[in-house]
Amino acid sequence: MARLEIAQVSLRFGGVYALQDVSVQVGAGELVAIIGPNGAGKTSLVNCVSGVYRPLVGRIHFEGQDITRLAPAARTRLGLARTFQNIALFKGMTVLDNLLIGRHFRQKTGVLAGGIYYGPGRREEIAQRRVVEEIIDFLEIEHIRKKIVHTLPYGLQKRVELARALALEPKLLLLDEPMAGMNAEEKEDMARFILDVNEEKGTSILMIEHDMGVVMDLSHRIYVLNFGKKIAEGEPALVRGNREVQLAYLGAEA
Amino acid sequence: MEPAFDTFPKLLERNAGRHPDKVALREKRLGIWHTTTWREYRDAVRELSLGLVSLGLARGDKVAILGDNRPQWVMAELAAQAAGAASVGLYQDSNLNEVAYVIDHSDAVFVVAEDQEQVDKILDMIDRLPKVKGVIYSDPRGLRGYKHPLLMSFESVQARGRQMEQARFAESVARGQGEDLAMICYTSGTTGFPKGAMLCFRNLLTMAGSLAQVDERFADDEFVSFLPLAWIGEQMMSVATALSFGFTIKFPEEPETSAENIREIGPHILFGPPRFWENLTSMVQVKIMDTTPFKRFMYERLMTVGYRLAEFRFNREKPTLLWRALYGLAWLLLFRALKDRLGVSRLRSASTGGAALGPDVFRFFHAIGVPLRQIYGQTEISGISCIHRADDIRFHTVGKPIPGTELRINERGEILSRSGAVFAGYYKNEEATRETLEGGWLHSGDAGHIDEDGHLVVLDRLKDVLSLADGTRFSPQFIENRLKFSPYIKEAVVVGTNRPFLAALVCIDSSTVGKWAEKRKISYTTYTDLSSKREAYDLVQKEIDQVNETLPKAARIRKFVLLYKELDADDEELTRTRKVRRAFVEKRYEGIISALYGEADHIAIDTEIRFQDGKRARIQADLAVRAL
Repeated sequence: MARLEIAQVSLRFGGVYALQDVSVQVGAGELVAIIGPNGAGKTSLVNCVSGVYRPLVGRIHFEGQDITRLAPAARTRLGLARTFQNIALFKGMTVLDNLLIGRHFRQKTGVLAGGIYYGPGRREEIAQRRVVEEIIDFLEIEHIRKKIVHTLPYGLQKRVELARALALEPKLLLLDEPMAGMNAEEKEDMARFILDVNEEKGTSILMIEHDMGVVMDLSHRIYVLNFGKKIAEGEPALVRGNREVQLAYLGAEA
Repeated sequence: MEPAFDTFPKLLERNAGRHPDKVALREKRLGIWHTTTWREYRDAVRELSLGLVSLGLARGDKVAILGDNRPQWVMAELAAQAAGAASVGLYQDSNLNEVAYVIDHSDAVFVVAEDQEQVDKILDMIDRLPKVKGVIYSDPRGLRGYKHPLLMSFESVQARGRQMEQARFAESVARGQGEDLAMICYTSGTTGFPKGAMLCFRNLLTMAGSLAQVDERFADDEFVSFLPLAWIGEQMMSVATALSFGFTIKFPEEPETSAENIREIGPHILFGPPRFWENLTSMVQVKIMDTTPFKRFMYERLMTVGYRLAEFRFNREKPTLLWRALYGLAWLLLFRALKDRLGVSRLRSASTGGAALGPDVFRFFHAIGVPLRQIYGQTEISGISCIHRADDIRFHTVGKPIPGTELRINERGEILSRSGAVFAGYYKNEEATRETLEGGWLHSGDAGHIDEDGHLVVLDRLKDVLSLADGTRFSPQFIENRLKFSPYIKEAVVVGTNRPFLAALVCIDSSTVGKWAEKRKISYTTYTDLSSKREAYDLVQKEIDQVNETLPKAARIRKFVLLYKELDADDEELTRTRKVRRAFVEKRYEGIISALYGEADHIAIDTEIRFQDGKRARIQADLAVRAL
């Protein structure tokens, strides 16, 4: 059984079909990329999975459970996490606080017990902090732990966003253009972290990315969308050689 | 030095016996400082050492160590030494060729590499390293899929060690002697291949003992180990001195967090190259430029008081009561907080070595109450031969010899020294050994003289003292150091051998010049762009003008360019200890240099730069030549 199963999903905004009859599968421990020109419907698809949009028709199953109508927060509890194309962090807070917020859904102590400081509240705080510290170590962001997010360079903010998604301890990670706007060195770091997450933690990853070098190097399988339709799928080498893909990308004879 | 404790492993045993539960090492992991006591330290070393022996490490072998400053680094070193082998430290940012050369040349049989990054370097080169019997990593991150037969984890070697008869460790330690080889320190070598300086335990412990006579150490001192452990300066402190006096070594969480970790610890002893102290001062200056006018006003007034008091101290005068009272006020309002910010509140022993430090930086630290001193030495004399005495600090000298050290200048003007800390020779290079130790004196290769008060003044490398076409003698390093004292100039290379005049290649300091540009609303994108701005040229020209005024007419800089990139060790322009490799730089920038002596006022650049991982990128720029 695939970890994520998107079956014949269609999504319409007014008269425009953003997605038409799209099916995508992500297996356990798989790293899958979705590519396609601008406006192909990539982000719309991810938004359907994370719960921002409800598809018009079609079903989405996560580990066998139908999540098509589930609220976004409920999906998080099941083990779904995402990052955004344009960073969506709490800019005025520290990196550490941003990550701890990612742990909030795991905390059980209420306002009262938490407010007392000693006892269960503190124990839980320490346990959560440990998880967060391990992620900080994993993504090598020790040096910015106490920095305010908006003071950080863009590449690092992207990494912090990945860290917050990892704080949810997801089984499936949705990455919306994790490399956008990065320089070569930052891209290389990010690629290494994505691979590490996939290999060390066994997290399934569904990634939208424009950098073809990255996509071809990292992904196990690739889906290609164009005008809301899936035009190709398969292993990187296969997709690269696909004539329709070449046409969609290059617009003419390639 | 007691004869019974004449090696590092014996000192480790002594400390573990005397203070088993006292903290020996501290390392920050997952945001928390974790401690290792002397007993735990010794036990870890014992297990690793026996494990290495079970894998075939024999007395007289070498073990190469490559990684950031971590407890495992020093444990590996002591484990090798306890087994009668010597350690060979490698700079963690070395590239593949450097790593392969040192490992192969030193005949290392084991390599202790910290993590995936370092393991990759070794495995990439493994075909060129036929003598290596094992590669041991301490951080398993990312290495899960690696299946190389030589690869093993730090823990697995320790586990092997636990299976061995534990008493063999004590026997092996007892067999060690002061004359045994402790380590081979590969000197950065501003020319050609690095040379491996062989240091015995006796050399290093003599140095530690002599230095402590003029710069006190206590068992409850705190020290942060953040400079490369492959460097003799860090070995002096983190290993030789720490074992001798039993003080605690702290390891920062990551290299990037060391400034922050130093602040958390507030060490009693800090030893860093000039660059470290310059960075602290420029950080303060940058922040002050950014702050509110009121704070800036207060800072400037109160610093004046500090500078005045430092002046008293430099002139060896007693400050008047009024100035002392004012200083007390300044301390309350500024210095106390500022020192805390920099992590130097408890600092008792602050020293700088490796190159000259600008008087402005000296003044700054003495003004805020940090007793910074200059030291001088070479790897070949275990790192140090001279130091400023606490009450006798002069900007232009490097102080007096430490006890037990003889110093003299030969007829060529070269600095020679002799002491129990002088090394045993270069590994597999008898010719160089003979030259360096000719007549029983260590030939430093530095030109200098001893002034009337017995202070040593260092001028430059002997071979770098050059002459212009008209015969004028000049020392490029002397001029470069004067230039680098400017906060805006990070690196400078002065050229002029057999040329009609002197010219300079200058690298701006991107943080201070960048700040300066922002203040003036000068927009820029990259380093290359910033350094090609007319305003940046004007700024640097002013700085050079000032330096020129202090130089004799013939030795003034007449033309300069701002380089489009910073000099970098990865491009082999600097050594790993960040000294300019003059010959290489002059060759690499031959085109620019010859243009400096031509008529052109512009040079078109099209070149390649190399990243640490071996990738290359192309740079195109248009350099302006500025005549003064």
